[in-house]
Amino acid sequence: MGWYDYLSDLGAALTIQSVAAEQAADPPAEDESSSEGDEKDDSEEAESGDGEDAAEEEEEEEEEEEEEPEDIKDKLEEECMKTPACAPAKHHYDECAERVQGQIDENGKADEDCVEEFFHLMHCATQCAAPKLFRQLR
Amino acid sequence: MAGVLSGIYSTFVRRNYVFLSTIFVGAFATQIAFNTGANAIWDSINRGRQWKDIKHKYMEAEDDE
Amino acid sequence: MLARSSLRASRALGATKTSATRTATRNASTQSSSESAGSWKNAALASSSTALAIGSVAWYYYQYGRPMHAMTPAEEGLHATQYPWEHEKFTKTFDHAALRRGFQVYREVCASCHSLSRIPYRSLVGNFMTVDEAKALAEENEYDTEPNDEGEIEKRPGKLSDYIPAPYKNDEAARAANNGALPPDLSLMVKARHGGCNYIFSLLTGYPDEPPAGAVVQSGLNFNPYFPGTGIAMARVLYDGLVEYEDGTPATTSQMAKDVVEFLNWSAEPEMDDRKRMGWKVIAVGSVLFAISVWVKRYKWANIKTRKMLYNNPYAQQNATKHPGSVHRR
Repeated sequence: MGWYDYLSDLGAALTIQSVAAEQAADPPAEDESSSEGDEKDDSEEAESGDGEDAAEEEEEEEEEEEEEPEDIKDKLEEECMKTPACAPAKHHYDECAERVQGQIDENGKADEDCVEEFFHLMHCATQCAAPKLFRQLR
Repeated sequence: MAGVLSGIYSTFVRRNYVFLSTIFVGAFATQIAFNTGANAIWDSINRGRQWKDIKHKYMEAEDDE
Repeated sequence: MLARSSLRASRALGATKTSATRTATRNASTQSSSESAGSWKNAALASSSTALAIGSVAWYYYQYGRPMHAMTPAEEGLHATQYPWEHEKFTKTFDHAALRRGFQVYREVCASCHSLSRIPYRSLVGNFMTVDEAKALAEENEYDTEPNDEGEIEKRPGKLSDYIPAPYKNDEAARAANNGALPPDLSLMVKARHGGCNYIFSLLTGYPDEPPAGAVVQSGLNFNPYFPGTGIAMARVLYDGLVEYEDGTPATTSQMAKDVVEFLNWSAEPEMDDRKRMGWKVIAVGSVLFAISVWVKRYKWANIKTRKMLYNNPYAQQNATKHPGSVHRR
């Protein structure tokens, strides 16, 4: 791979985005053009003319990509727990949790656990959320 | 109907070697036709899901290299 | 001749027997005549046998028919919900773009602990990678050569026919690195676990922030409701944004789990696409042939199924007197 391959790769990478451009300096493209020779400047500038918008977008997007995409599964399941189908299971679980917490506070340890109630609750919530979740995933 | 059938009989069934050849050629042709049709249907049901539908994205990247 | 004469004889005997004993036998009936003197005995017999029948049914149910559970719910693990996997539909192939993403997740997240020893690099080609991409991946690894002339074994870069390398040399090394737990090979995991895709997806995404109240998890284990016994050695590994997908898909936990599960399903059943396509062809051709064979059978049997038999009674007056020799015996 020579310098020309490097430049064309860079150009290809910079021009894939199609979001609307915004103002900003264009450090990557400018650095490249300053470090190259005259002939290359022309090709670089021509490319950066197209790539400027894209480079800015890439910068913007790269900064935005720092934010993690949020998983909706937990939200969907929480909403499902409020529906009339799953509200009883949630209620039972909360009751059990309170009871167990009371036992821990009094005796230092619990006599029972809420695993079964938790199972019923999660079963109801995931069944409700499953089709909605998959509709939104790719 | 009867005329057509007897016509078919006299050309394709009467002589055994003709009959056999008809069967073999017919089987071959049916197989090709059926496979082509079935594959076309399968591909249309699964448009965008198979490798042949997406490989162009990655073959182009290779051509650049 | 002998058979016919003996039949005739037995028939005659039977006739005399019934006629002789007809008056003597009396079956139990609802007649309330004085002849049925043992009527209370009959009633007692009937009611006691009914009680015996009902009692034995009830005892059998008590012994064998009541619902029984071999395990507590926690020991069995929460059953995974059915997710609407597109590739599980009868007419659908794998989504090969998802397979590519799933393989990326495997490589970046899972391969540090889990082997995938049944998958060679050549099987990636034509499924979700090009030849050059697969070769490049293979070459990143070193494999042993065949012994040279001196019998020495050297190292060589990988080629397409090599299998995906395992992260640990052997099971003991794997256990040592993972608190004594052995991360299983994943090549067949989707087929090897009850619940398949649903189970693995639920497992990966089912880690709660906290175990439910009162649940005790052994130290070193993590609570996961879907794992039988609820205590699994693997901690949660998928978090939002952990992987950056080539095609720009947002890499949420659920998305990564979905892709890696579809990839693992491919790894366990790489033939699925072809199998389904062939299956439909077989069903199509087979049903046509079956329909034809039904028609042919009915055509061939038409004569038999529509034949009629005429019975001329040999003992009818006219026939006997007129033509004694022309009686049909059928």
